[in-house]
Order: sequence, then structure tokens, then C-alpha cells
Amino acid sequence: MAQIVLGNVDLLYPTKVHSRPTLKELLFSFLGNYGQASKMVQGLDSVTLRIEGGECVGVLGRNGAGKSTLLRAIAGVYPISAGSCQTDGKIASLFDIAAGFEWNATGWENIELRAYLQGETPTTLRDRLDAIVEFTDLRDMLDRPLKCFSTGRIMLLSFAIATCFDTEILLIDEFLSTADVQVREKAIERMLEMIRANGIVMVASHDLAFLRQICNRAIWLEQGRVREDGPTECVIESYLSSAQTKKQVPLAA
Amino acid sequence: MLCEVWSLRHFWLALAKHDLNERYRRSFIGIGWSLIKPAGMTCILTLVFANVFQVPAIEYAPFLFVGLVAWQFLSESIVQGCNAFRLANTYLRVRPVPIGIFPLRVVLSAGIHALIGFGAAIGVIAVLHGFESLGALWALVPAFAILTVTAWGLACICGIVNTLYSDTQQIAEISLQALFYATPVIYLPESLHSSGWLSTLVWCNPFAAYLELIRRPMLHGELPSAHACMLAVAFMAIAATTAWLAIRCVERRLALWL
Repeated sequence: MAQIVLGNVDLLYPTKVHSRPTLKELLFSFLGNYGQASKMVQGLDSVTLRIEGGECVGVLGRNGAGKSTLLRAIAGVYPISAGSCQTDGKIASLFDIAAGFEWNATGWENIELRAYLQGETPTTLRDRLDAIVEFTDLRDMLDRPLKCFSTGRIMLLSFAIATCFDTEILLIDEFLSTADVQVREKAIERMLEMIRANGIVMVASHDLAFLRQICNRAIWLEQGRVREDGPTECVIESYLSSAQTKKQVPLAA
Repeated sequence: MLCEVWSLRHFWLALAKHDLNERYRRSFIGIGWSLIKPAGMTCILTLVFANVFQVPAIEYAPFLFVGLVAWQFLSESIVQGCNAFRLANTYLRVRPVPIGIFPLRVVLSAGIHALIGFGAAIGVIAVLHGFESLGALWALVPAFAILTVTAWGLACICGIVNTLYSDTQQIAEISLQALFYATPVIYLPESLHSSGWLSTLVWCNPFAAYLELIRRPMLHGELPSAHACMLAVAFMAIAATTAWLAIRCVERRLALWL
């Protein structure tokens, strides 16, 4: 059965990640303190979780709370600095609409690329190709380059590929926010199927109505820490009342 | 690491295929350019340098063509390898994969051009001169393997360094220009004074050894010298080990840097 177990997970990343020193900075650094020293930011702070198969977990929190970092750490994309992160089950992630796609390649080529990236083979892909095409309902469009697809259709294609290969753990980061009602319903139905089959779905989102609709458990993150973990309705209530209190404090002052 | 790379073979083969399609998209001649480019260069340079070196054009042209194809493979792998991980950003954000597959994608794409070039060279040499010893042609198999592993190693190293310091590609391009003149691509190694500094430089230049590994069996039907074999294998081992260590060092953190 699918399972995610995190024990006291810390994740630190350097602030100069996106502006690493150039050779000039490196050479001149010998002459003095050239440029800023690299500081470490705490992305996750002592996160301990246990998620079992059959759970659909919503991750909520303010921007920069660590929602995306948590999902990426579980997927193994970001390395944890301390603690332990164990996953049991086949993982698929939907973090970014452009991730894992080549814009100039056709829909068919992108299905191949993305499936092979997930570790599939031509044989397993052949078995599931019809299911992917049927789910997306895009057969007539797949000969065109991906850049001709609308954002919603790219999302649908990505979702279909991620969920058509017996995925047991699905990690979604604000992915369905641009989807229309039909696509959303299709995706929700697929996620519920996964949960019924004892899989795990983790969704990071600011869309609380969506989280209420599909999640049976929610985790509220604040500054990389788990502030609250419990039934979706209770966690959302606490989150909303905290946001309300923060809004009222400056007014009262 | 190699097992993981092999398990994702369908992925990196599909990427290399996509790169080739993308490179010649809407081109009338398509992949034929991989032959026309070095062939055109060979014609122009033969006109000039066959006179300078006082050798018959019919002997000099295959020598030059094979050299240009091999050089093009190495230099393209290194220069394109510099951007291998930056281009892989889209995939590294999906799931953890062995990062060595991205420089391999570059090397494969360059390698397909090189194979077309070498295949054409073998055909032309067979028509013009015939092969004195077909057995020596088997020596090309390990030679291509050594060349490919070296190119993969160098592409990995350049890709990692360029991810950290984006000046690397420019430095690599300048260094390759300098190395081009220190390697007997255009000139004949026999034309150098045996006691001169350039001769010594060529003697210890591994890139010159790679050219010998391919030229000797192909052009003269002979096995390469022991010195060339040892130099090529030693440099391959150094490049592969350095690349392996560099990958081990940065693999887990690379997604954070991109």
C-alpha cells in the first residue's frame, strides 16, 4: 500500500541559488568580501508526517510557507538537509505546466517523452496510449506542436500521462487552477479513483473550496513548519480564522 | 549510476531524436547537412593546404575530412554539453533522474552526425584507394567507444561547471580554438619538426591521439600506435572519473541551482 513517512525533515537552500557568483566575483573574492555571502533559507523545518494509502491530503498556507518545497522534497526533486523521507509507491508529480515538455515537439512526441521520463517503456506506453488519448479527448490535436495547445489542454495532457500508469502517489502543486469546469471534474474523478484504489493524492492549493471538495485531510504549513494537521474542514477553519485575526490586528491598533 | 542511466534509455534516446528533428526542422536538406558541412570545408581547405603541405589532394582530402568530423564531434559535445543541464531544467523539476543522461543526449546527437561522416569517409576511401587491411577497420569500434566515453565525460564536467559559473561556455570555446591548432586536424603530424615545441605538444595531446585512433585504421589500414592508445585510454579514464566524481558531488543539489 502507498505510504509517505517524513521524520523531522529539514530542507535548507542557499539564497544565491539563482545568482551564483560569476568567475569575476570568484576571482575578486580573494581580494576581499566581494558580493553577498550565501545565506541558507529554511524551506522546511522539522516536518513530521505520516500519510497512508487512501488519503487525499490538501496542503495549504500562505505564499512562501513551504507547500511546493514539501511536495518537491517528497518527490525527491529537492534534497532534504536532515531527517528522513520515505515513500512507498509509484510517484507522479504535476508541479509546473511546462515541466517535462518540449514546446516544439508534437503532442504524440511529448506523450512519449513524458512517459519515458516517468520510467515507462515503449511496451507499457503502447498499452496505455489509448487510455491517455481517450482521457484527453485530443486525438485530432496531437499531430500539432505543443506550442499550439491552450494552457488547459497542456494541463489535461500532463494530468493524463501522470495518472495513466498505475500511479500510487500523485503530487499536485496549484496545477488545476487554470482548468475549466469539465477538465476539473474529469481530474477530480480520476483522483477519487486513485484514492479508492488506496493511492495517495497530495494537493497544494490556495483554492480552499477545491480542497474541501476532494481532501479528507489537510496540512497547514507556516514558515516551513506544520502548524496544523487534521480533517480538512477543521484545518481550513483554523487557517481562515488566523488570516482573519491577522487582518483585524492592524485595524484594532 | 550506469544502471539507472540504462533504465532510462528510452527517454534519452527519444531526447536525442527530438534534438535531431528540431535542428533540421523545415530544412530542405535535413540531416544531409551533417555531411555537406565537413565536405564543403574539406574542399576549401584542401585547395589551400594540399599546396602548402605539398601532398596530393586525393591523399590529403580524406585525411582532412576524417579529422574535421572527429574534431567536430568532440568540440560540439563540449560546447553543447555546457548547456546540457540548463536545458534539462524542465525535466529535473519533474522527478529525480540520473543527471548524466542530459550530457549523453548532447553526445548522442553529435555522435549521429559523426557516424554519418565516418560512414561516408569509409565509402569514399574504399572507392578511391581501397582498404589494405579490412581487419584494421575493427580497431575503429573501440576507437569510437573511447571517443564517445571521453566526450560524455567532458560534456558532464563542462555542464556542471557551466551551471555554477556561466562563463564556462565562452572559456571552453576559446580553449577549443587554441586546442584546434595544437591538434593535427589540418596539418600533417609528419610536417612538424621533430624537435620543435609544437611537435612535443602534439605528442602529449590526447586529442591528437584520438585522431590517430581513427585515421590510422581508416586511412592506412594499420593499428594505431601503442603511445596513442595509452594516451587516449588514460585521458578517457581521467575524464570519466572526474565526471563521475563531479556528478556524485552535485547530483542531489542540481535541481536547487537551476
